[in-house]
Amino acid sequence: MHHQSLSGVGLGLRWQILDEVLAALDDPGSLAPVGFFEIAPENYMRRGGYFPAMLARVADRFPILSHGLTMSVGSVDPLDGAYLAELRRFLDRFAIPAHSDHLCFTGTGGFQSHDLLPLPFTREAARHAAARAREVREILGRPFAIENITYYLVPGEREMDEAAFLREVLEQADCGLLLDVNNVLVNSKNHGEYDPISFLSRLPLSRVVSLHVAGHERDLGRLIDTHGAPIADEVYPLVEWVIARTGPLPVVLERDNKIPPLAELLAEARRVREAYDRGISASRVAR
Amino acid sequence: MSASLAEIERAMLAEIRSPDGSGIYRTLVRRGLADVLKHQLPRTALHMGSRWDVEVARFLDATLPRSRYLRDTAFGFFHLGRERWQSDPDLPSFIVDLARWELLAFEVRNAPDDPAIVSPAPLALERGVRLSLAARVVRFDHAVHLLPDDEASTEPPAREPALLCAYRDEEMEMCTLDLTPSAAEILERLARGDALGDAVSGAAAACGIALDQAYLQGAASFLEDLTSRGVVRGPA
Repeated sequence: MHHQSLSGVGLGLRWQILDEVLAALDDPGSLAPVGFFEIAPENYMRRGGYFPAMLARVADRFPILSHGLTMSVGSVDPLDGAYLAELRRFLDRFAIPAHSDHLCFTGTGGFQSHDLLPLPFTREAARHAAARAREVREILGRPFAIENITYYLVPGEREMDEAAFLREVLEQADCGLLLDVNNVLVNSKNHGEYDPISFLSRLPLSRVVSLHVAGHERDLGRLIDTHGAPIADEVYPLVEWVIARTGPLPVVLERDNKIPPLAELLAEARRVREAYDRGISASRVAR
Repeated sequence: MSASLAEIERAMLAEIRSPDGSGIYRTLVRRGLADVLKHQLPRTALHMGSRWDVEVARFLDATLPRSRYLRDTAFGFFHLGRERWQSDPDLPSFIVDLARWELLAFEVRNAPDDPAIVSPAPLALERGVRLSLAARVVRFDHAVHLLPDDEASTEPPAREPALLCAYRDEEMEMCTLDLTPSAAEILERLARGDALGDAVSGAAAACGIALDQAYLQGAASFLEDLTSRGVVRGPA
């Protein structure tokens, strides 16, 4: 199954729903509208036992997208060759044709924060991240896309805004964009209440290879991208707006905290699908 | 002059690692890692009570994880704290055993898969024995393996030494087998690569047991049992 050929709505596969997903494998229609799953390879790499074995069962029935957490594309630490080699073996094993990770750094000096830390919006950071994204693509031997993150501060002196930074990295790296529309919304509210559609209009939408949707919560005096709540109502029109301009793409519903039963996630996925379908209809009308 | 990318990244990490910072990323990173620790060590957290948060903060003040695999974080936490916890009169005497037990379960369940046995071969005295990659010989001063399954149970483990072989069963769950001292000796010697004959005779000598027919028959039965459990995978 080619990444590029996937479209529709998928679900981030998490331990908390794995048993329910496995139970439904013999009747894949019961998981509708979910047509594929996305996994974080770090959760399966360098381990045996139940989880990789169950992933193999899911992968027998559904296409799998790979979205990493620790590439640290913007870090000044050297790329981790051992990790990349193991990641490539993992992607080969499950015949996953592409990979993505976040436009951020996750650590430096050998330390791992296990969080997505923002890069300065500078030409140096853009050049550095783009060069590493190109290197990652070569090492993995398949397309590599970067995802826009939520950021709660901009470190250093900014030389451009987020949209310009993203554009510069994407153009220099000549890579795809995994566009998280919830992150766009959260950033727009946390950083001056700007219009998310205006932000999206400034992105090179032809580079978008997939979308993420998730929920956020108010905490610490701002919106935090917790993936611990249902998708906010304001996110659905953003899905529709983007799909109307890109045409069919894979859209992944992510939920990482306070994970409800699968039935609830599927109901939410149906709502995403409705927004997606409205976007598809609009794209046909536009043509 | 504006700061370089390297300077900016180092400064952010320093702020996150600082014991008394208040930045947003320091809060988020520490909160995330603390959640993971509690998820991996729920019983240890419960029995530590109010000390748990203190110990987590102490760990995060000292270091950040070095591993990109989040699941390794609890092992680092344990490694840093175990010696101190062992001699701390304010903590339950079983706390180190309990934490080791929780991590053992994690380690065994997630150990690399064994290669499939293509053509089973009999064991030979002059050769080593291939053991499952998930098998471990462990010693505890408390019967942590007999605690109720309910992670919320506050029942303390009995002070009772335990000598166990932990392994992964076909359901991919951790199981344990009580070992005699000589059985543990045999397994530990096999694990370090001794030939089967040397392991069996060495274990007898170490435990002051006569190398007689009864002992040899017992050793053979033990190895047969381990083979049926998938712990012994054939000759090395």
